[in-house]
Amino acid sequence: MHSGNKDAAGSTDDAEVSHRVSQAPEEILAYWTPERMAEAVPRDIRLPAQKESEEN
Amino acid sequence: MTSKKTLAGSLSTGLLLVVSAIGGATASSATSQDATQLQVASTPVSSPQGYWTPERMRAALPGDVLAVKAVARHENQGSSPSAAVATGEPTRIAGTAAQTTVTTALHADENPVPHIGKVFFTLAGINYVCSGNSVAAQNRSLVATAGHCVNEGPGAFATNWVFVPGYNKGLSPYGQWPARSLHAARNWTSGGDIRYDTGFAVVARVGGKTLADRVGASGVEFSQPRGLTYKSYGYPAAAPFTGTTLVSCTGTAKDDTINPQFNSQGISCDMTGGSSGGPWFARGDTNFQNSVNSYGYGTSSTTMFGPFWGSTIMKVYDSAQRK
Repeated sequence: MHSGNKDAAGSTDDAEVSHRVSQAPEEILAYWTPERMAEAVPRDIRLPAQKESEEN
Repeated sequence: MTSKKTLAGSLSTGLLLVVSAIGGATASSATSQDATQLQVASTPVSSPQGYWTPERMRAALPGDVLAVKAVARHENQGSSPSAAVATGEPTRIAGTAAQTTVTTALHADENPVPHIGKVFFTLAGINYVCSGNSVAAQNRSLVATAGHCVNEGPGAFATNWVFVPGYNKGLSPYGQWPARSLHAARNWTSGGDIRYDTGFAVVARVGGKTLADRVGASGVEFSQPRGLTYKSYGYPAAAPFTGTTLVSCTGTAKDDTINPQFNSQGISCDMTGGSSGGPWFARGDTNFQNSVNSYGYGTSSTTMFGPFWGSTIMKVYDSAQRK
């Protein structure tokens, strides 16, 4: 589905990875009901605080 | 030599990703709160001399009764010269009480911006939310966000990826724009290297229009000087925020001194989870984006870090904007 050099979306740069979405737009739109949007979890990167990283 | 372990080693093969859920904390029960309140007020109070018996305390007159009497005396005796009250040098005597730290919010509430919005997607069966921004592109259909909002880093790409520009209080005034393709640096998709925590999505046309036709698009810039003053935007959703409205932070970018190898810059900011992927604009305008909200330290971070957009991220952008 995805690759760096020669993927379906035509990527040619090894630094970059392209991924073609196989779902139809209508399918994605139908998936996101107001309830699912409201319940979606924040995706977050929290690294250990400075003190923790010094102690470990 | 004291061993000072940094995150460099632990992040070499991937990131420690902490996912916080909205409203995930367990509230205390009413019973335990009531019990705590009942324990407070039952300690008897008495002076060392024993003068203040409970009966004397109950019989004591309110101080304002004495104040009324003092005002009456003043009126009966005539006014004294006001100079005696008003003169004297300004004087300040330091106390010994602990300094009170005034906590200032490190964000500002914003009105919706049409080209900035929320991103919804699914990874490993979990529905997530981030932030994103419509950026200038040859295809006029490109959204910039964080790498961890398009790909596990390292790992799979997201499904059900959709951009909701101008989101405000549950409304989608400019529609919802599903992704046709997702793009990230190989360093992110294969190694989870946080230096490349940026992703792009090419979205489908909606109602025959491109995203840029509908909401406009910010310019982008790369390899800019470090230490610029930035304004970042996002939809923080983890407590104390609710994710329903747009928020911003403003500050001068400083290097990440905890993990300088990340090459990231941070600005003063208390936005929480959900703001990831929100755009950074230098020089106080929204004309040119050159980073995204990426990571913070600890559970109550006051600095938001963003990746330095250099030549690799420019290559990812350039490839995506032509799709």
